[in-house]
Amino acid sequence: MMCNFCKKNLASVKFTEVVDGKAIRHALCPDCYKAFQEGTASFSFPIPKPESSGGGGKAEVNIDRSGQTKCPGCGLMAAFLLELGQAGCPTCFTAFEKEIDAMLQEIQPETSYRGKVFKCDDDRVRLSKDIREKRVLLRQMVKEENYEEAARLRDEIARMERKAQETTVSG
Amino acid sequence: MPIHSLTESFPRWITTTQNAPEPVILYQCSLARNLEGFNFPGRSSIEERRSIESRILNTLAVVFPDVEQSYYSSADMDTNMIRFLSERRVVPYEFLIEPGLRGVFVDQKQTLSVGVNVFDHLLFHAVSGDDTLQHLWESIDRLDSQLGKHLDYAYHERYGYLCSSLRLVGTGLNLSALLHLPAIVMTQEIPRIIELCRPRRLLFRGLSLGETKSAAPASTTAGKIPRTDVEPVLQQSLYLDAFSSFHTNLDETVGNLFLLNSQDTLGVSEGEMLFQIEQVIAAIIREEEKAREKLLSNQRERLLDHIGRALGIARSARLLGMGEALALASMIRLGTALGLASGYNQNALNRAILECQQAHLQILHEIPANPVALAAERARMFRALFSGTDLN
Repeated sequence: MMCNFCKKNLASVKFTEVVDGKAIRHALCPDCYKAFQEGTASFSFPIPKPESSGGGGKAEVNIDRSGQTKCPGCGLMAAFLLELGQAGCPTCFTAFEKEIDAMLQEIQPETSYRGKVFKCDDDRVRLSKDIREKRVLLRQMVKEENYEEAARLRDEIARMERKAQETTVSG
Repeated sequence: MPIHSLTESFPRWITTTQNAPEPVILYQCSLARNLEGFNFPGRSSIEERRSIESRILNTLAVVFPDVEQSYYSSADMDTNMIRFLSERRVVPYEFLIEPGLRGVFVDQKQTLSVGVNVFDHLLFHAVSGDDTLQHLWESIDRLDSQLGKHLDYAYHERYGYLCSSLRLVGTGLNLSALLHLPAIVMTQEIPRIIELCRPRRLLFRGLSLGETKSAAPASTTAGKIPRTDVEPVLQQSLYLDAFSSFHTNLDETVGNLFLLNSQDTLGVSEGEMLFQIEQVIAAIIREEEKAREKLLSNQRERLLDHIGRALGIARSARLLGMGEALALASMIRLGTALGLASGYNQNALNRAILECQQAHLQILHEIPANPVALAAERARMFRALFSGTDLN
């Protein structure tokens, strides 16, 4: 199939984009797909640009104006994940757990993990994990307008970040 | 680091005596990992990519103090240089097509590499022609554990290691073997191999040239060596990709080469996966050996004719397409393995196959990007390599 944007090269990336509630299938060549991802080409369809929240967002699915579910971490739309079988960030796995489970059931013999267990024993890593968890809590408190708790968390995060900075410098 | 340091030496899997059985060209083991708190490379910004790269390089420096000297960033390479790395099996084909800042650390022997920001943040990759898959996995596992002490991997209690592709979620491990099976093709026993792979859920695929699936050259079935047209420049390389996405039908494969791949990453441990694939590789090797014996006892003259014709073309052709070169090399390699031909060095053939790919020819031999010029140089290499080779 030819790329349906440049009409010159062979299409190797296929995906579905939802525009105004309608699913539109696209087939692009690697060059146009790159331009599509970087938002440099003038496509007739909306371009989902990556968000910079870093995959550390709370696993609560956002719903955009067209009714599409989006990952709070990276902004990936569920339709995109289902079409390509690719997640955008670690948060997608909690945000789209049902969809991912269904896809894994199709491509894997089981959906339970039986491999090597990850154990990180680095203080800096533990600290950065704690900071991320506190940030999620902070966002939650701001949303609930619990400003007293939010201020306490903000100070705690600042202390932890200073400590992380010192550990990095001395390490 | 400029890539030129890599062009000055050959990977260890080419230069050492092969201990693996002859039908095994090489074993590959790759392992994907991601860092918690960052988008996967497909959705990460340039700042995120830089931050990930610096974290990984700092951690790699704990294990490899000279990491800076052996790290090749996409920012310092043009597309042809990246193709060169991909032809060398240092990086998978995806490294060539993925956009954005990415890089690869390559160890001194060019057998172990760590891709950064390819389709996952980290892609450990080991390749060997003289070792076992078990040893390759052990070397990667050791490095993974060392880095995992300092890096916070994206890990989920139920899914294991989180990867961008759902096909890798879990162990993130992909094991494969590149196999040379001319006798199985000639005796038309491919369906038996498919039956061996099916219950173990392993993928058994043919290989095509270049960057697209449609690039398969004219048939290169063992024994039949048709005069093929010289392929376009970008279809004169034999890439191996991480997801088998442009592998071809079994009857369209080039040079009687096949790739056996593991595909499950959930519900199975790394050890079980190794056991499964090693069992199937051993069974395929037994089938190939049986087929070779059958050819020797039932079709000796036909076999000698095919090998003799291949040698004749290899010693006198003035233009050789990549597909045709692989087909000739396959027959001559079979002839040597069966003791029917002699007079060349197997390592030299492996080296020639590596070197006669497009980016290698352009970079090492300074050949222009012209299909005929590349084919002429390839033919010259084959004439020189097989000048002293003859049927016994």
